[in-house]
Amino acid sequence: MTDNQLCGFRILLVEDNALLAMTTDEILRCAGAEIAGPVGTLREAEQLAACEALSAALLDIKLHADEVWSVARILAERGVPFVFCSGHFDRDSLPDEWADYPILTKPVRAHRIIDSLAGVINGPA
Amino acid sequence: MARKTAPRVAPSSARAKKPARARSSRSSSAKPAAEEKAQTIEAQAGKTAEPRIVAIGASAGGLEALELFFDAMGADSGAAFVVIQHLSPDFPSVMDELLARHTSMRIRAAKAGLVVEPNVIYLRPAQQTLIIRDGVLLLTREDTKSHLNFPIDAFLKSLALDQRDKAIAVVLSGTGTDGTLGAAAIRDAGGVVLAQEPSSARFDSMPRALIERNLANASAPPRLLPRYVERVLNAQSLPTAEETADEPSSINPERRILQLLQRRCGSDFGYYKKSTVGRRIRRRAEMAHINDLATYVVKLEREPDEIDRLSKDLLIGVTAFFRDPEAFSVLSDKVLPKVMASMTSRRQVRVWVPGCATGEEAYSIAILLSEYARNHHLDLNVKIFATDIYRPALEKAGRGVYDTTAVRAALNADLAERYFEVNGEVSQVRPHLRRLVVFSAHNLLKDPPFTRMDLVSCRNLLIYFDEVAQRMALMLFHFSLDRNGFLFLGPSETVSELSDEFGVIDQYWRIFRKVRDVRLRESLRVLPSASMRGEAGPVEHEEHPSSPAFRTTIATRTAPVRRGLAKAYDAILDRYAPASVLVSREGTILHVFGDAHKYMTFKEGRFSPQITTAAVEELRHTISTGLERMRGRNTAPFARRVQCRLGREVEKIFKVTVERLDGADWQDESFCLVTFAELTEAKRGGSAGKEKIESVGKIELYQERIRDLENELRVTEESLQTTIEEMETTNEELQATNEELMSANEELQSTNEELNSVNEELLTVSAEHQRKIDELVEVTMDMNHLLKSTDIGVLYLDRDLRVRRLTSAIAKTFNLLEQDIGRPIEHITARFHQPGLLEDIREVLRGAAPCEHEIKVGEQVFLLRILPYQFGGEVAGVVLTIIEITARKHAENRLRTIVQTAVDAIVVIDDTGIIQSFNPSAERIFGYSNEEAIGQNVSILMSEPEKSAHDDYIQTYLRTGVGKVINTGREVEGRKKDGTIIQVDLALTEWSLEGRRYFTGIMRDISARKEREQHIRLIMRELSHRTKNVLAVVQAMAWQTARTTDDAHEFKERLSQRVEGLSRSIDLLVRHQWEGVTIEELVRDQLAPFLDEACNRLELNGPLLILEPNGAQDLGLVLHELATNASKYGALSAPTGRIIVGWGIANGGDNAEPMFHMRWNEEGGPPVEPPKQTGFGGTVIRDVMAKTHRATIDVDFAPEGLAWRLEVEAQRIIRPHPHFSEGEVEG
Repeated sequence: MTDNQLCGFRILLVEDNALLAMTTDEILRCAGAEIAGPVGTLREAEQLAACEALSAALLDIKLHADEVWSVARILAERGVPFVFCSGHFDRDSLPDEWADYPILTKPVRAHRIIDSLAGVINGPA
Repeated sequence: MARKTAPRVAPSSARAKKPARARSSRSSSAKPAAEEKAQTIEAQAGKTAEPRIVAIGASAGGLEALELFFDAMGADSGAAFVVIQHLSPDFPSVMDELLARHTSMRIRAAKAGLVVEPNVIYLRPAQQTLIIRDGVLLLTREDTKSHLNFPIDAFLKSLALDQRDKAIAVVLSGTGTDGTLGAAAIRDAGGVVLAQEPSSARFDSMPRALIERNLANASAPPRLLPRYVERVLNAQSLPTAEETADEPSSINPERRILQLLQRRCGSDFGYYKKSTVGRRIRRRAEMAHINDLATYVVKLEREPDEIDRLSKDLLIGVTAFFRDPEAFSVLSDKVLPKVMASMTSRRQVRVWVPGCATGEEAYSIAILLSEYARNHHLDLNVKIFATDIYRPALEKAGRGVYDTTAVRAALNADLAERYFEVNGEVSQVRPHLRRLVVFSAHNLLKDPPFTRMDLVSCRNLLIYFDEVAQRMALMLFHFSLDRNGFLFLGPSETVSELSDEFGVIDQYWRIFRKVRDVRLRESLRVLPSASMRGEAGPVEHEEHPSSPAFRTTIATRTAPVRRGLAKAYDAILDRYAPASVLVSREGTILHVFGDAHKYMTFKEGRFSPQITTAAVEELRHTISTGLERMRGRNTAPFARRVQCRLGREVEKIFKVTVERLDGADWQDESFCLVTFAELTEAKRGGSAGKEKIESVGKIELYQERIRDLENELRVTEESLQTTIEEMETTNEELQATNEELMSANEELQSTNEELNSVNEELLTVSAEHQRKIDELVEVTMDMNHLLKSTDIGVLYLDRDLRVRRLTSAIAKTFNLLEQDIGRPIEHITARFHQPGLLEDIREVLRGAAPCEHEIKVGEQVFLLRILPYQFGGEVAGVVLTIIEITARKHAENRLRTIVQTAVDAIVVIDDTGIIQSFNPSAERIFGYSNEEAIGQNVSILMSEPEKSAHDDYIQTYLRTGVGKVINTGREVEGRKKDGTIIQVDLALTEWSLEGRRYFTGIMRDISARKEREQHIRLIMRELSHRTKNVLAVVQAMAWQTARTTDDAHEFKERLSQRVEGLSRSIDLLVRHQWEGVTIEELVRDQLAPFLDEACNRLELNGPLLILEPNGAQDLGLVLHELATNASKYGALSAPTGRIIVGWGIANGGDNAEPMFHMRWNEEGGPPVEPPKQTGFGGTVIRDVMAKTHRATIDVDFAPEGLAWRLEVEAQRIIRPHPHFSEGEVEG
């Protein structure tokens, strides 16, 4: 958990639950990552996704009444790898457009988050 | 006692004693008892009135007639009435009581020795034979032992003997012929017999027997009979036929016509078949344009010619030469050889052709016989007697002239030539054939038959006769035939009952042979037929001179002349009459007038009243010649002069005249008057030349006498010849009659035997009938009980729809009572309303199928069935049955209601898929009305692909028995009328009724349920998501707690509290369907675990604001950490500490977002120190809201109490509208 796997990478964290956002933020920081966010609204997330220099992103799909697809599309266009993390969606229910993208199903252990992000950063998107 | 025992002695001795007793009763000397003396005195006293005795015989049906009779009979007629009834020995008679209601006369039971009194009715006691002698009643015990008793005959006979011409007998209704012999005795004695008019009698046999035998002086209905009796009692003549004919009912026209025919033609058509005769009479009447027989009778009475025409119509049958040639050829082959074999010059073959009409049949047989003789070279010795009743036909037959065409049609040219002399259009029978046949008028049924016949040919005559006459005729034929003689009948006639006596020679052509000489047991004497019944007018053979009736007419004709006056007449005659002698036609001296005695002499020896012996010798010849002349046809007065000497006087010339005295109405009584006159000298001298009366010398006188005698001899010879001829005929007839009488005697003997056995039989039959009746009563009772106990209402109607029988159960529905039996059903009202009921009943009567109706009577429901009542393959009436079906009807209604009210659609289809029934729920679910759906294919309720394939499904199932859905159920798609597809749960079952298979589908619309299921699935998924999120939060909590806690116990404690706090927030959210919570609620909820005992330590200030679910969770987390901190270190750790929570929304500048403020201030707690290190709690209070919601958090650890402040864009956590919206669940 503290193996600095993500050292030197800048990760966009999109999460609308305050406690989860804070906790995930801490976990990623412990893994050496620099965090953009965390943000809990679509508008803020889109802004960061479009403007920030990012290594990867962890995207909660449901944001209040919105879903995160526009953010994912921006990231995909920019070639920023990302991982979905959701309580609502899983591999089967993920829209076809995003079927090839990795998804983590809440609740998720900390090292799985780190491994997934590291995986998308290192491996082919 | 002697009086009583006397009748009990054996009949023979009783008979011997009775006359003596009877005589003694008149003298009264032999009577010992005082009582009887009194009676005798009474009787003697009554003798001055001499009561006439009216005997009344009655049997079955007689009571009614007796009642009517006595109703009309005056009570003071002065006559005594003796009623003789046939009484049962086993039951006491109550006749006296019954009659007492109809007469005021005294009624007595007849007792032996009772002297008959006027104005009393005597009744015969049962089992005793009542007779009368010298006006005294006598009784003898009936011989009950198997002998037939004829009590009426017995009494009437005794009455005839006792009362002679004063006897009166009345015969009323009854079976059998009792009374007939007694009536005959009364008529013989000169008494009067009255009979009840048969048509008015319940049983007409007894009166009819009298009338048929012409024994009744008159007949009338019982209520009119007293009038006749009274006329007889008053010595008035009985009403004549004309008088009785005034009553139209007294004689029916047809009978009257037959009487007219009998009178005019002497033929009694009463023996002819009624149908045939009736038809011909009506035809004749129609030809005269008369429709009404009564009118036709009037015509017949006026026009005797019409009677002749009618008689001809009735008599002339169809006849032809060799009618049925085949029959004659059979006759020729089978019969003639046998018949002709017996023919010799001394033995004549005798043939009788009765009913020969115009003679064709007789001539045909003559030709047949001649031909046979000719072919076999025999000398013909044949006599054919051809007889008929109709003289004109016989005349034609005797002439033997026929149409040539008729002759040629039947005979070949050879035969025609040999036997007929053809003369243009007509042919005449040749004399040699004619000689063989003797035609004579003869009434087959009345005149004695011919005898010793070899062949009787009677073709197509019997068919006109009724059964009795047929039988009679056959008997006559049998009698008339020689043994082995043949009988030749028409093709449709048979010997019927006499088949034992006739052997069959040819069955088809009805040729029979008499097999043995035997007397048949049946009277050959023919009585006048039934048509002559009631004939009160003169019928030729009734008024026989020796009959009493005749004598009385003579007596009344010679009017009673006062004796003194007669003497005066005699004196006048003596003084003024010429000397003359009145003699009978035979010459017996009856009266001598004037001094005619001068011309008589009396000689010694036996006295002769003959004038021819009494007159002086010279006058005798002249007188006898004169009388002889008078006997002849020439009745002109005969006068001669005779010269003779009277006594010592000189010879003188006298004129002797014989003349006949005739009166127009004297009939056969005629007298001759012989007158003597002396011719004076002067007269002789003076008038000799003028008067041309020559003086006759003795020689001339003798010559004249000789001439007269010769004439007389010739007349006598002629008359002798006639007499001999008559004798011969009569002899023949007498022989026949004698044989007849012999056989009749034998018959009577055997009839007697038979009657005895018949009586026995009747007794047995009667017993059997009684048993049958008992059985019937039992069966009837059984049936009645059955009908009563089954409670089935039954009503029988006959052909005319009258009530024949009913049961009490049906009386409830029809207003029927027992006494309605016999009333037409139309007259009866029913307690229910069923239009067309009568029409239905009539339809069934006409042969329509039985029908059923349900009828309501009050609360009850009945099933009314109308069934034909079949009897012998015909509809003889109608049976209505009524069964109560109220319970069944209720059950049916319950079941129907269940179907009608079921929530589910219930649809029944037949095995071709056609909808049979469709309940209201089906209407509701599918939108089709009942009327629209029934008769349609069930596929209208389906969507594709079932819709198209459904018929095949059924067919496959019916063929293979394999079906997926039958008897189970499944969810299918249905189609409403408007096209909407609905989800239905279908349960399908199969059943069969009357050989057809049906399917019931029960369907429930489950569209709503389906929708809810879908919804639940959504919710479940949502729940799963939420759970995962919550778990993620819990995981984060655990992670954070673990990071800031070293002690495992503390970790456990802290984590538990945090999870509890989280759980409270979730509870709140769930309570509001996850739509949000008010701030106040959230605060109170999070603080609740810490404020159990002191609510007043919390102060809340702020408007009603609703937090977004995420915001609520996050803020809840913060509030939990604040409260935890306060309870550990702050205001809540001290008893006096208070917490004040305030919030609100403030509008920032023009372009700024509205901002939400919240403050947490503690006071009254222990002094606050800033924490040495920041734990999870501190992080949460400071960072949670700040990081995600970009909130500004301000925490001041002031010593007087913690102050926490939050400022965040309102839209991030606060719902825009302060109201909950319903039903929406947010993810």
